[in-house]
Amino acid sequence: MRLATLAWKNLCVEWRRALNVGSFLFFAGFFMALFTCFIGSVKTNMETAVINALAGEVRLQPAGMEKEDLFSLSGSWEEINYLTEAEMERAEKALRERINPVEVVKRVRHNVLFISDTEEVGGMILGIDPKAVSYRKALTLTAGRYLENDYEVILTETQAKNLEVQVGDTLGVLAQTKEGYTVDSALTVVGIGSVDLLNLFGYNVAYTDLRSAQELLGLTEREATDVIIYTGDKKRALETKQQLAAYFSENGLPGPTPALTTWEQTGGFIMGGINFLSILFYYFTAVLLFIISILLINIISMTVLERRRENGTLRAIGFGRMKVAWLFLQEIQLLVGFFGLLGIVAGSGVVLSLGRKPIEFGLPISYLTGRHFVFHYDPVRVFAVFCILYGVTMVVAFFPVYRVTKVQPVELLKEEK
Amino acid sequence: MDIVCVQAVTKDYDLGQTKVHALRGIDLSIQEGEFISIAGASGSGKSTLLNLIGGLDYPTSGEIRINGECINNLHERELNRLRLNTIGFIFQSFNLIPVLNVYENIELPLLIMKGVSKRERKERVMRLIEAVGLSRQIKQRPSELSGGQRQRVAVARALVTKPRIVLADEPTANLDSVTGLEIIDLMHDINKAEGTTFIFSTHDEKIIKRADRVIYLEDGLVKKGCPGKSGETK
Repeated sequence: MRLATLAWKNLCVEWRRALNVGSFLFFAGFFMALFTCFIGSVKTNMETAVINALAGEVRLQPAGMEKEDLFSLSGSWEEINYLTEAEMERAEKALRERINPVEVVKRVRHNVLFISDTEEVGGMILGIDPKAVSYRKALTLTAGRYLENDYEVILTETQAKNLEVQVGDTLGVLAQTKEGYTVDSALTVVGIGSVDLLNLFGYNVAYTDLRSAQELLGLTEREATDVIIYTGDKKRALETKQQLAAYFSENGLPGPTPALTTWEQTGGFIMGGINFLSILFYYFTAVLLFIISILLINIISMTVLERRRENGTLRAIGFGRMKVAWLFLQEIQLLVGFFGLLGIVAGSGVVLSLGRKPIEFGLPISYLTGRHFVFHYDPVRVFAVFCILYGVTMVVAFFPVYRVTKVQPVELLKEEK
Repeated sequence: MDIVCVQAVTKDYDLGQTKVHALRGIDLSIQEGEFISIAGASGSGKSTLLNLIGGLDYPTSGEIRINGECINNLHERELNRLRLNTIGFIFQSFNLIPVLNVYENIELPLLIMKGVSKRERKERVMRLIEAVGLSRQIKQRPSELSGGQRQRVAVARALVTKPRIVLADEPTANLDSVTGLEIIDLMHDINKAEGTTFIFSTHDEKIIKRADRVIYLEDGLVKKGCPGKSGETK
């Protein structure tokens, strides 16, 4: 027999006692795995929404616009800047030669005035190629369809409500060109929807076709306010940005170099919000872990106290305090190794099965989850949760165990008399 | 040389506002190989004295020497070593580990003893199992044994480390009189065969008669003393 056998036998023979602590560890593991995957999924989904809806992995825009925040765009027409035909040509060449993007979307962003039969509402339009794909992944339609032709617009639900229009209605649009002339146009509402995950941050942009937006800003077909580059790998954003920057510095044209920003920089305001949310979630996790720790200390204290006689006997026959403590801790280790892991495996199973298809959520949870929430399983996070649960359990178990082993053996043996 | 020497030992317990004087100044000495009974009424201090000799507790004053070494000021680690190597314990309520079988309970102290090979462990355990007559119960757990059988396991466990002293605190108190005598006889046989010193407490006259020497305690003091020391030779 080895000493570890004693720990193992204690668990197997006294299975009810083991189940008491074990079931708690199971549920702790289960909910922690579920919770951490939920937090991770919310963050990942929001980041993906930022990339698909507005930032791409890398964004190219006119010089001096590095710090521009999409949300700070005011109605000041004079501030509008755009990429010239020469810059666009150079950018296209760079992308062709250096990068192998999944999708490149030329965009024109502009402030306009929407005019319906009954209302006039100011808003931002985002002109994109009607055949663009990525934005569709983020924009959830509640009515109509995505863009297919020129002179079409997809309004947000708020815009549609304020303007009192429906799919099929035609909107008047008033804008000012880059030269300062006023221009009007008519766009057909083909869809109503919004980027759910960015609603929390007040993202309220109407998507229209590129040609209409260019006309409203007075740009040629070859000009755009920015270019969004999708590489399919957000972790490679910085590398892509550096490759493009290197190309521009090697093949410079007269004048300033266009600005390049990664999705984290472009969505600065939103990313700050997402990070704040993450911190908030982790704070709750820490509180949850603290509560788990307190409960664990209580359960383990009771379990250890029940076994004073065994403790006293071991001490009487020559076991040192730390040896006895280690025996108890070995049991806890086996418990957290089995039940904690089992809980985490169960939690992972639930996440994986929930992740098979989107889950429908309504307000206010949809602010965090979107209307169609997709669970992402992250094995690294889950492994980290197991390590945390294991570490916390061992640390909190040590105190009651140590406290009991500190008692003189004669006191422990007296208990049973 | 005395294997146990107790000099002017007192032990007080603080119970809030009252102080209990469990031992009021005990002097006694025990030679190696003796089979001694500490007798006395309940509350006379028998268990306290055994606990002090066994290094399970510290005296309030006085000195206890085991094999010539004063154990009063020994560090906890040294006391553990003393209990493991020199002293074996037998308890009134057996104190076996309920989840371990007979073999494993007896083997338990050897698991932390240095220099005992696996083979030697097995030999020692099997020899003792045979000596206490539990060869057929080797795989049984304490809950499957009778009181007498449990105490036999406890005796074997106390002896497995080859201690020089075995302390037994009322080893027959939870047994019927016949089984109690059997246990005492078993201890006596081992005492004669191995020369192990046995010190056991009891208040049962039949058990007392089996001892080579009896030390009577009353209200924390030795009632009758052997010549020059405490205790009385039978």
